[in-house]
Amino acid sequence: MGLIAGVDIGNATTEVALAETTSGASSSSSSSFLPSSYPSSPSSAPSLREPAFLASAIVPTTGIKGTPQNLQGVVHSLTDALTKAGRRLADVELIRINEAAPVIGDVAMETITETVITDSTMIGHNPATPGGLGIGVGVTVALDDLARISAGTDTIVVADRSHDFDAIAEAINTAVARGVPVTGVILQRDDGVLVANRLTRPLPIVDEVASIDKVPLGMPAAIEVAEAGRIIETLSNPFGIATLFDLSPDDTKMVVPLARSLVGNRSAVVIKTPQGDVAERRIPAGTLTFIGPVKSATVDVEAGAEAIMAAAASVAEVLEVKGEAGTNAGGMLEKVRVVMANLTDRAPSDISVTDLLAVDTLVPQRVIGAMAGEFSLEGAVGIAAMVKADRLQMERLAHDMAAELGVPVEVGGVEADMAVRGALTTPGSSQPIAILDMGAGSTDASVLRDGVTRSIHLAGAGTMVTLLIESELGLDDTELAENIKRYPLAKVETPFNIRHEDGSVEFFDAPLPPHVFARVVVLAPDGMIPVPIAQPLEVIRQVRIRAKERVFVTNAIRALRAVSPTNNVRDIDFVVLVGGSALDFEIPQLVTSALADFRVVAGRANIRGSEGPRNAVATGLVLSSGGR
Amino acid sequence: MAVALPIALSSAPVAERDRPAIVVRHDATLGRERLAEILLGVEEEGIPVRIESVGAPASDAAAGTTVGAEKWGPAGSPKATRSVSQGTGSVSATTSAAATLAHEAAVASRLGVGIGIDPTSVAVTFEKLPAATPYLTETLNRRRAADRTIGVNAARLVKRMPLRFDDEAPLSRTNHPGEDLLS
Repeated sequence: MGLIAGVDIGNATTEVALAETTSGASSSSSSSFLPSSYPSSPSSAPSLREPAFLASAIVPTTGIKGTPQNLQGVVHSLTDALTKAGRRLADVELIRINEAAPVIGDVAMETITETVITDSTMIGHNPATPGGLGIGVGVTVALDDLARISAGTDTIVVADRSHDFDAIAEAINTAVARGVPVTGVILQRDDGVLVANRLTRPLPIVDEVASIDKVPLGMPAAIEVAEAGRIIETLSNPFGIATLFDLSPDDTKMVVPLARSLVGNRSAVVIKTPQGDVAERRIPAGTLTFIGPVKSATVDVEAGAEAIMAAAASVAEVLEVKGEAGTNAGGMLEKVRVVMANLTDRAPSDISVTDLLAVDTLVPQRVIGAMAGEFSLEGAVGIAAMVKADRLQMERLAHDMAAELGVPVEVGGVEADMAVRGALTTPGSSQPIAILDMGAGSTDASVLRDGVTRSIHLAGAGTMVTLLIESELGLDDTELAENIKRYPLAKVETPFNIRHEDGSVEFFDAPLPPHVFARVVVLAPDGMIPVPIAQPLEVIRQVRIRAKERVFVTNAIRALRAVSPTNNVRDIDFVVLVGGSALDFEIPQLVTSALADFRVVAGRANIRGSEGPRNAVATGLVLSSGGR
Repeated sequence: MAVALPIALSSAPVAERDRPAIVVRHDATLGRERLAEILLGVEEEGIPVRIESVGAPASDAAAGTTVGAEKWGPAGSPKATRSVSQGTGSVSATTSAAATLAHEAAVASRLGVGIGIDPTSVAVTFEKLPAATPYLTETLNRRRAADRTIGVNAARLVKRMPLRFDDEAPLSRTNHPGEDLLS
């Protein structure tokens, strides 16, 4: 009576399937496992040697897949499974691990446009509570100099944080009484309403201007504050600016980018400086070259994701991707190569990038030279790259494991074959079958038809989705982005209730804590996590769904097309979804509904009728041993 | 996001007690300058307040007096008064005084939000919360910015807007049973 453990080391998780063989399994092992040698499906091979599964376990992978650091996670998950089964390590007769980590994925984001303000000319932002209302035009004057301004000069007062709101209001009231027409106020502190409430005459006030010291003084300026719930209409219109500043047609052309960048704000200031300009600049991002077996294709990263993917498709099979030296694109791929080289102990030149997924995205970037910390949405390309790992890597790991655990360890068959083998334990499934393995680092597809498997590994999976969510929402917090990806959102409406993203309401007996009040929260299993950004729930939800669609739906179609006998997705009938991302609450539905357009029946796997989409490879590793 | 201020459609004057406002109930021994920053915080967010002094009549505010924004004087010399308040003893006893005032204020407020202020602490609460557990608490006159922030947050409870926690020391939170919902 011996135990067999199938161990699948993935990019994100290490999974174990523990089974007992009824006939003292032979461990006459070799890793030369032939796909055609196993029975077409488990049901067609009723065998006394069919192993009885005892337990499964899943833990996070330690270190990068295929590196010695994995050992810790393997031991952890193995111990887990043994504890669940009430057995000891000494009972384990054989451990089978997945063959040569076929792929290691990495992701990067490249901004391809940026907005630069030269010689500060505008402020456009949305302070929570600007003061006053309307439009004012005048010359910028520091509050301290207001007493020296002669009567009759239209003036916009600029007050930094050294002045209290009552002192500011008093100085302005005094100046107005003296006959100085003050037309607007720019404040550094969040005091706009307080100043407005104390003025004898209502004025438009823009507050919370962080870099107020950069506001040029003695220059003609215009200020606009819209009513609550509205956006500015004059300063976001080039002809509006031309009217206020009496511009020539040539000058009006110059203010177009400026006006455009103010669209959507509730308050804004435009200051006319002699050389001022706002420009959207395109960053030279460099080119990518896809090298295929017969030809290669070069594409400019600036051309966007569609052009990049078209170039990748044009070379048929990608053997290597190179970035232009000395550019962002080159640097990005070089970084992936160096990271992988260090982890796998090889020279960077030996590492080939064998697939790449590019996705167009918009990321909020701080505007260079802005005065109130404005952000502008800039075009960017997100790239997931995939590297073929060393085949020997897993053999080395198996050797280390055997030494550490004192149990024979063998490297099982090709990962994709193992996954199909495991997926076939899903009740109701049969050959021919296609699996779509949606993990963290890569999306893999395999088709089993007449005992022969055909498989492909593509770059871009869960990690890429996280990256897109993080950068599009400007989060700077990968863990939060990961949580937004995984769990549904809700809005805290009162201390006692939340509204779920589908509109349903849930009440609580105890008041919800103040730091989630009125916020959008992520409903993680262990509690609510507030999302510290101002975007409404619906925007965050759309970013999440679009990120998943652009990675998983794109890759599902790309992968199935590649493994289909006719290169047409329609010629695959049944697709079983496995892997960590198949556990997601909406990715399977997104993929299923996209594949329905191709008349493909797709659904989430249920390995061994109990494990859901998890444990496919680990189960396949055990079965392929028992079935020999 | 701002809640539209109500417009009296009938010509009949709205009774002061019926005007929608955040009610501030404070210990009568506290001068208006001790409350100034809290009231400014509410004002900056654009929500009306009604101030009620409780206990022995104070020199500058009779019980039930309503003070409009235009009547609000300068903050006086808050630094001097602040030093008086520092180092006062038993916080737990006075916290409950502020909590009780806040609860009464919230019940009296048509907006359902009340601020209670005793000589050492400030409490902000909803009418529907138990008197013993106010929603937010803060030490009175710890820093000007902290006073201003709790005023802003009281107004944001009315406006259903996320609260501000950018103060150097975050607002102390009272014991919320709902806390265990958070990781």
